[in-house]
Amino acid sequence: MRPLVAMLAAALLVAGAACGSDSKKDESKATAFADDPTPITGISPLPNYPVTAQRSDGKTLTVAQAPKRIISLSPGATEIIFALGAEKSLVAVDKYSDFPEGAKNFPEKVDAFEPNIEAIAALKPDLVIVASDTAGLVAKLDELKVPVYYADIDKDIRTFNDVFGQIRLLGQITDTDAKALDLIKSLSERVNKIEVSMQALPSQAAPNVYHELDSTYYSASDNTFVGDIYRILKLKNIAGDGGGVEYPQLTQEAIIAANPRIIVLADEAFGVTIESVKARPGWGAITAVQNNKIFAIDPNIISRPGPRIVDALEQLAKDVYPQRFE
Amino acid sequence: MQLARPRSARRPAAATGDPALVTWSNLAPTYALAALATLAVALFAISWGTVHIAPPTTLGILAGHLPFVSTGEHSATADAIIWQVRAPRVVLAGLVGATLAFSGAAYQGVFRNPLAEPYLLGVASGAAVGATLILISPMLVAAWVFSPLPPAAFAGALIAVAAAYTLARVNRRVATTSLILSGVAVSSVCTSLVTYLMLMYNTRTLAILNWILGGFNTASWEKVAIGAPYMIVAGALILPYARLLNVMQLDEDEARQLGVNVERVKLIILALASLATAAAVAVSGLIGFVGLVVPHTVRMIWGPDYRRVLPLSGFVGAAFLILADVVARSIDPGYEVPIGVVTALVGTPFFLYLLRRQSRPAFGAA
Repeated sequence: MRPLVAMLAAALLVAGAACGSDSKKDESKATAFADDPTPITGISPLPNYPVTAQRSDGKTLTVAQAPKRIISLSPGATEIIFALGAEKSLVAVDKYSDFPEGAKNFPEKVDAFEPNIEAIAALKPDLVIVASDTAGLVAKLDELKVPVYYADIDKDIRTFNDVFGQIRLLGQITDTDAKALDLIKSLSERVNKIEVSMQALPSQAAPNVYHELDSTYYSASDNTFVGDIYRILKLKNIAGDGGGVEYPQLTQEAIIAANPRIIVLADEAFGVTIESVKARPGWGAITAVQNNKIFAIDPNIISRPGPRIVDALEQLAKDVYPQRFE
Repeated sequence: MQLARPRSARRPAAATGDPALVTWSNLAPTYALAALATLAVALFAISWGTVHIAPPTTLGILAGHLPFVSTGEHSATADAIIWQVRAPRVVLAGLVGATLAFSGAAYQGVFRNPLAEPYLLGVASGAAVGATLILISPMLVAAWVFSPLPPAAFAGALIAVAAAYTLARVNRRVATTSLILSGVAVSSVCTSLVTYLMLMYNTRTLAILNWILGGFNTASWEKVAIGAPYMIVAGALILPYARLLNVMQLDEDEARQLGVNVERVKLIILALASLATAAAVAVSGLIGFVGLVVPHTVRMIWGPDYRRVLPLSGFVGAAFLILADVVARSIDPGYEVPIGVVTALVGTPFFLYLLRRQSRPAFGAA
C-alpha cells in the first residue's frame, strides 16, 4: 500500500506542479497580449518576479526584480507608469512624454527617434521601454546588456485589450500589480458602459467615419486602436483594412465617394480646422460636411496606448451620439 | 515637279533633325499632334479613377464647367469628384510634368551635360527647406486653404538657386562647371538642413517626408492657379531660344561670332527654367526622373533639334506624369502610392530599353 500511496502522491504532485506551471505560463501570456480582458480582472495579484514578457522582435525579456532606473521612450508607457504611481522608478522619459504634468516637467529627457545611445547608457538604466525600434536601437541596447522592453506601437498594440495588457505588464514590472488591476478594472468598466449602450443600436444604422491624421489624407485602418474605437462605436471606418497598411494614405476622391457621415480630425494641432475642411474644394458634397458632423480630437489621447485612450472613446461617443451619451 | 524637289530634299532633313534645314512652320504639325495626344491622355486620366463614372458623364460634367455650356444636372458627388478632384489633379500633373521635362531639356542644353536636370542648381532641396520650415512652424498653417506652403517652397527654391549662382560668380563671370559644383554644394547643405529638422521635429517627420515624396493627392484649382502662370510664361519665353541652343551645342564661339551674348542667353534660360521648376516643385513636391529622362527619351526618338526637344519634352513629360499619377492612384484603388516610386519604376526600364536599342548617342549634337 505504502509505495502505492507514495506513487500516487508523487503523481499528484507532479500533475499539480505541471498545472501550476501551465497556469502561470498562460497567465503571463494573458497579461501581456490577451485578446479578451475578462480573465485579467479575475486574477488576484501574484508574487510577480521574475516577470517575463514577449518583445515585438520575438525575444523574451525577463525582469528579476522591480527596476529602479527606467527610461521610457514611449509617451504611452510614461502615462501608464504615472497612472500606476510608479514614476519614482523613472530616471528619464522621451521628449514627447508630455502627460501628466510630472512627465512634461521631467528633469531628464531623451530623444526617442534619434536616441543617443551614450546618453541613454550614461543614465545607467535597468530597463528601457521602447515603442518603435528606430535606427536599430533595440539591438544596440541588447549589445550593451541594457534590459529593453519593446512592444511595437504599430504592430503589437492594436486594441484596447492590448493597451490593458500593457498596463498589466507594466504593473507587474514596477511592482504595482494591484494598482494596475484596479486601473484596468475602472477603464474596462468605462469601455463596457459604452459597449452595452451601443448594443441597442442596430448595426445597419452605423454611420461611416473618416479619421484624418494629416492634411494629405493619411488615415488609420481597422487594425489600429483608432480602428478599435470605431469598432466599439459601431462606426464603419472608410479606411477599411488599409490595403494591409496600418496608417494608409487615402485617395481624395475615395473619401468623397465614400461620403462619410462623420469626420474626425486628429490633425488640428497641425492647423487643419473644421472650417478649413469645409472649405476644401469638392468636400461640400460630403454628408458630414453638410451636417456639421466634423469633430476634432486631441491626437495625443487617441494615438497613444495609454489610459487616456478611454477618454478618447468617451469623447467620440458623446460627439457622435449626443442623445445616447449625455 | 520642280516645286516638289526642295520638299523631298527637306523631308529627310526633317527626319534626321538637321537644324539648319527645318523651319518653325515645318514643326507645326508635330506640335499639333503632340498636343492632341496629350489632351487625349488627360481626358482618359480624368475619366479613370477609384470611383467609376462613365466617360460620357465625365465629359458632360467637364463640358458643363465651360462657359456658356449647359449639360444638365449631375450628382453633386460625381461633379465634386470630376471637377474638384480629378480634373485639377490631372491638369496639375500635366503642367508639372511638362515643366520638369521642358526645364530639364533647357538645363541639358545650357550645360551640355547629359546628367543635367532641373534640380541641379538646388531648386528641389531649397524648396524642401522652405516647405519644412513651414511644416515645423508652430503657427497653424497646414490647412490647404491659402496655404503658405507653396509660396515658402517657391521662395526656398529661388533663394537656393540665387545662392548657387552667387557662389559660382567669380570676376563677374559664371563658368558652367563652377555653377554645377556650387549647385551641388548648396543642395547638400539644404538636404542636411532638412534631415536635421526632420529629426528635431519628429512628430512632423511624416508630413515632411510626404511633402518631399511629392504627389497630386491634394491638387486643387488653387494650386493650378498658383503654379501655371510661372510655368507657362517661362516656357513661352524659353522656346524662342531653341535655335540659339542648337547653335550653342555645336560651337559656342560660333554663336559669339554671330553676335550672340552666350553668357547672357545661358543666364536667361537658366533663370526662367529655374523659376518654372520652382513653381512646379512648390505645388507638387519633389518628383524625380521626369526632368532627367524625358528629354533624353525625346532626343532619342525625334533627334537633337531643340525646337523639337523643348516642346516635345513638355508634351511627353505631361503625358508621362499624368499616366504615372493614374498608376499611383490605381495600384491599390482608394489608397495612394508615392508617385516618385511610380515614375522611377515604370520609367527606368523603358528608358534603359531605349538606350540599348538606339545606335545614336544618347546625348550630343548629332
